[in-house]
Amino acid sequence: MRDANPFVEWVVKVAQPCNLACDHCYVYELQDHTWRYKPSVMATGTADQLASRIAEHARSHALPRVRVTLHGGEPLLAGPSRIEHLLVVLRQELRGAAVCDISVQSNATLLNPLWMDLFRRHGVSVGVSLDGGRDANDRHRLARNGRSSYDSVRRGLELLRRPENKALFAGLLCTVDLANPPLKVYEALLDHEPPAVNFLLPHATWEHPPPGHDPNRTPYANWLLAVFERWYTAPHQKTGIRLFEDIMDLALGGDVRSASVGLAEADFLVVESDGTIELSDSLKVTRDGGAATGLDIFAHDFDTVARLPVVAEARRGGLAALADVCRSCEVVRLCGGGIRAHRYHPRTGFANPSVYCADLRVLTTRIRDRVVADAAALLGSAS
Amino acid sequence: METPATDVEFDVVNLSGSAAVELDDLPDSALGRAMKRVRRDALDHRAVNAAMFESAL
Repeated sequence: MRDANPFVEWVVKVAQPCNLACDHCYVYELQDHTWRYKPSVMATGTADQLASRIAEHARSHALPRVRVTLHGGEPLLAGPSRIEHLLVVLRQELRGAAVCDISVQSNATLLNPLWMDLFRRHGVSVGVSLDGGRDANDRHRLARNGRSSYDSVRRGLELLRRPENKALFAGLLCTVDLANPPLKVYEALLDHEPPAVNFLLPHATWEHPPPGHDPNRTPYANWLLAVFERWYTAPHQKTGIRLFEDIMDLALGGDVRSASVGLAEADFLVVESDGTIELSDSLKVTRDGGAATGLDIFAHDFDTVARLPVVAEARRGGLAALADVCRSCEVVRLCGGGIRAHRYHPRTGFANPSVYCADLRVLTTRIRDRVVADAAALLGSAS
Repeated sequence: METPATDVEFDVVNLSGSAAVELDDLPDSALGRAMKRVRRDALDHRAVNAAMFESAL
């Protein structure tokens, strides 16, 4: 049997709770409740074991580079000393084995100069979750007392944009809400001068379709295409938009590492605060425990995880992982069937097109047609 | 038998044969940047360096 490909990316749940109470949160507000039974923060002994396991995997597969994302809940709730301990042991364990890119995905409300000092010392880049301007953001991203989180996020972003911190600003992650005007959202995000932006479709399944789901009108494609048009036609790029860049690269014959589009095999795992190993977080929207593997970093190395049938099936790339109707679709190499969780139906599992199929088809077709025509014209004019 | 993704009919621009365009000559537009990324990765055989996990940057 062929050895499974190695993992190169780990998402580490350093803190389970969050100081916000976003009503669209896939961790706390949807089908999965496993967070209730996990420690609120990752213990130092668990962090030590995790660093050791990642280094073991990097050495055994001669990986030149690995990636660790600190995630939650709100990861800064783990506190600076606990986070610094993890950063130190990761560097120690991986020294001489692999370069380790480390980032944190935060709501930015707790960022302060002490955190930024720590992140500068350890080279940790910071991605921030923000859904647009004040109105758009506060549609879902409210504090636990129901008050706006926007001013706290804005203060965190101002700190990130200071000259001494700017190199660590990874960008903004925005969940699409059809009620928010797309160009207003995009311009509000640009106000923070993000080096990169990504747009996420709200996690949904055929059992629980997204708000406004309408395959005949494709509202999510229309929303995203409005932003694409503004971004694509700009003479100079103020920011990168990951989703659009990935589709463009695929249309130009390139490869992308993405769980959202394309046919790449998944090469990341999630490690929870108790050391249990899970599949992509997004699978939590399918059912309670939908991301669980039953394995943990104390008893299992990552090669053992890779051999587990449920893991091998979930990370599978290419056409074989897709529904029959997807395999013969003309845009399958672009959309890749979308995020695996979005294909889920309780009766048929994952052997379905995405609940966003119609939107993905319109989005990828329009971007591909535009890119192919414009690239051909550009190459023709230069030859 | 599994069908390789490369066997699927797909309309792409073949940048590998586009020697007429130098990377530095491409405009600083979304398209120019994409063409640079794809050609640079193809020429250098570099792994694409970005997070795969969709809920982080």
